[in-house]
Amino acid sequence: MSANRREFLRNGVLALGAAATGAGAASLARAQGGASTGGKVTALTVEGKLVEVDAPEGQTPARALGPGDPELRKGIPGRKFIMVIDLAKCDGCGECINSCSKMHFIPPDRQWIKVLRMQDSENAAPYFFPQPCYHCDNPPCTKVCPVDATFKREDGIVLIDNERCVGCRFCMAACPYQARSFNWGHPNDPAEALAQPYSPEYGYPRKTGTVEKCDFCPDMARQGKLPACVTGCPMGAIYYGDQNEDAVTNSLGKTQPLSRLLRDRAGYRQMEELGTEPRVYYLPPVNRQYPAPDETAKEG
Amino acid sequence: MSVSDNEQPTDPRQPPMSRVTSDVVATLKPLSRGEWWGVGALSAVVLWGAAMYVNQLRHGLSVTAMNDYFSWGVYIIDYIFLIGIGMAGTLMSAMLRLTGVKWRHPITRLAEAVTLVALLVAGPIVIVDMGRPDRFFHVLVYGRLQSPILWDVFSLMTYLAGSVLYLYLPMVPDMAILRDCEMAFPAWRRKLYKMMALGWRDTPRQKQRLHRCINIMAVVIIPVAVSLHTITAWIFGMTLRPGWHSSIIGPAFVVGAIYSGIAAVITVMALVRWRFKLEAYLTPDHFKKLSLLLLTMCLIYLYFTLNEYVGGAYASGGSESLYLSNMFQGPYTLQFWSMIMIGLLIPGLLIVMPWTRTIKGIVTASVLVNIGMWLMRYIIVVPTLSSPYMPLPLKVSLIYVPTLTEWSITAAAFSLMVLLFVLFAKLFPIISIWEIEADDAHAATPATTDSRQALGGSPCA
Amino acid sequence: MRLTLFTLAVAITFGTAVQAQQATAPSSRTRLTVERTVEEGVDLLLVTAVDGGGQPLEGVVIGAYVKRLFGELVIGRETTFDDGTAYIALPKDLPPSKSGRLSILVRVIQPQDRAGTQTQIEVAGVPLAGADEPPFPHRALWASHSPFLLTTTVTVLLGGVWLTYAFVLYQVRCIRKGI
Repeated sequence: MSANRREFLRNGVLALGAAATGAGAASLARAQGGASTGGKVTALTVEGKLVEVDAPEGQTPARALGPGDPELRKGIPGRKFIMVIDLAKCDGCGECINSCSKMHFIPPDRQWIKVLRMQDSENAAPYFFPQPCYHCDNPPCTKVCPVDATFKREDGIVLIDNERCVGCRFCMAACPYQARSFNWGHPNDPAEALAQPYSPEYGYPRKTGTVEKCDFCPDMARQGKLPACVTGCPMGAIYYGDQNEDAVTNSLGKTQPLSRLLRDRAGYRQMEELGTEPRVYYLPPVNRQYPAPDETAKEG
Repeated sequence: MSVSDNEQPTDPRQPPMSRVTSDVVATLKPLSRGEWWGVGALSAVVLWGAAMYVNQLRHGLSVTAMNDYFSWGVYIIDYIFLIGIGMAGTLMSAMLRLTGVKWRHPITRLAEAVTLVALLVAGPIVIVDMGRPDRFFHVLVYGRLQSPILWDVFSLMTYLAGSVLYLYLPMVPDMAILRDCEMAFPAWRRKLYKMMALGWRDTPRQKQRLHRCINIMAVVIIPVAVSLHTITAWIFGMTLRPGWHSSIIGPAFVVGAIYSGIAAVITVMALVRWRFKLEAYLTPDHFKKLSLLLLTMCLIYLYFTLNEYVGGAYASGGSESLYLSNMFQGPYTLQFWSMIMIGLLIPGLLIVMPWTRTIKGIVTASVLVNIGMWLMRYIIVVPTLSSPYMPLPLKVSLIYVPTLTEWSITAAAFSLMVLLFVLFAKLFPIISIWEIEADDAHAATPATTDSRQALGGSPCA
Repeated sequence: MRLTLFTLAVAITFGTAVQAQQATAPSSRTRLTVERTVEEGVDLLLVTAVDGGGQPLEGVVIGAYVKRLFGELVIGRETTFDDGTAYIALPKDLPPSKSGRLSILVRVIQPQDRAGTQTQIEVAGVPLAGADEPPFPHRALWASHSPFLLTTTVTVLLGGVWLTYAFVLYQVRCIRKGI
């Protein structure tokens, strides 16, 4: 037995390596563990007492918060939401846009997540580039808001209180990523959206003359669910998770250790030199699993 | 009923009205029929603009050509232009006063009045630009001191208050002159002049206090004026956009503001001279001196512009290059080169060449500068917004053609400015009577106490 | 209940909390127990697989996962030895949830007829450095509240100018009163 143990310890490093890459059983795990949210679990306290506590997900209200709620501006306790987009997997289908627009009742004239055609230089192949709001850690939009209508939460999310926004559009000018849209005219929300109470955590019903943008779906996170764009991606190209847990999950149920993913796949952030510190990382489009944008265009 | 009927004082206790007083008071007579037509036309434009604004309130900013890329447009351009005009009047007046330049006397009040009316229109233009004007009070309730917009609001309010004070103080002795002269003013006007005259009896003590106040205000108003335009520049400079995020933008805005402001003052001077028959006071010499000031600012602004674009053209890349090529040879070529030509080069040449340095030439140059500087603000705002860092999504094209609503409100803003100026000029003497009288007295008897000597006297106990 | 008490005792001995679930084993009579143990400085999960009769199960592929907000992160995969035990290393870089706990699931992957049997263990973890700190650095211009230096500067400048205005207005009052 001890021989076995020693042999195991020698292979320990390999075992850790397997954790990083050998996520083969992950889909199964996801299928089995889907209902693992909520409920009570037993835990040992520092003093050595056993206590029954709520499971982590049960600690936060599962409901989106209204603009008056003091918790709204604090965010979901203990979380730091983060997104990783694997450009090697994005085939530009635009399903992320569709599911986001459907969930947030976004009018056809704007997109909270865009899919851009990126080309770094003439000799390099173009690639698809999904772009949500980056929820920057040094958000230029939030710096300039005169009325604190757009704010940065402790869980990393940048939201807009449309009941406070005065419509000066300074944030739109300040955002170098064009992540923000404006309700230039009266919004035409469907009855389904109008039936809901307004919450900055999902951004509707819309208000005339105010700014809106991608909200990182905190209302979904409160229910332990992934954002609409993530679940909508058939390629599993978008990962989302909690940086404090060092894990991100995609639509295929694959959960990856964030820090290792970024390290091994050379993750980067768009225009790092601006110092905005986005909370969205990209994995470079190497060994792409789809034709480059122009090739698709030629075929079409 | 007209003022000219009452030129001779009827009250024997009153001293005879001086030449200056009678000339200036003549400007306060009611509007002629032709002038009423002018006022009527301007009012119609203002009303039309107001109607367009009501329409905008009903439908939201969708009636403008602004979109998610061109998130700022003509309203913001108008705002920068108006506070630019608003900056120079008071600043110029304060600087001339502090340096003791004598020829300033006939033009300071006029310049300060231009400042006041420009600021009075600039403030509301910002509200026109807001998506939610009904929430303007949020700026005061939820104000975040980190936002340059808040600094701008504070600075604008401070400058407006200071300009009113600085305009009013040198008017006090003139109010006393109007109060004391037996003219056929309506009762409310007489009451107004009496109130504004502050019981002025021309006592040495009152003079001393007044001069001290004017001096203090002249000193304080300069940094406040500079702050307003610098902060407005910072609203652009504190973003990360190409063409905006530059350290030169603050000083460039200040110089541009003084430049366009002096041009506006010269234009107004010409109009006042022509309409009010004040040729004896607003002399060709005044125009020449101001034109040299204008030329100086023109050269400085040219220098700043050169710095801004040539530096960028050499060291650029990415969206900065796009921004510059958009202007030099892209969709904004026409606006850019017209701005350079009519805003800087042609006016400069008109003033440089002695045979065009006449009142006509100078006024032409000034009008060109005004148009050119509006275009300059267009060049500051629009090309940057059409040079985003991120590639455009498909089906998005970057074209900004202002709509009728935007042009109407712009026209209304400028008309309102003129109307407010006419209102001021018809209510108050547009040139300072007492200061010019003091000049005349000084010229007659050099040893007597003039305003400047009183200024240097010991402060009151 | 007796079994629970036993595992609790084990838990206290090893300084860990153990929760066993009879779970949803499709093929009955597969039981998993998990302990946390330290061997030669390596943090380990000791997983024991036995059948209903208490006989150790050899060659069972066990997977260990840590529960994350949106899914389960794979820690490791091991096959049981002849005594029914398997050791899965607990990585050092696994940050726990806010309460400092790590919920670890251990699940049978193979053989097929035993797959899905799982048990959960709650262990104490080491939080990431700075995980608890709210993202509001000292000079955060984007925070709700203005930095002290900015507030002071604006107040002093504005206050200075408006006090001057007040002084001038006072002088104006003096002129009016003829003082």
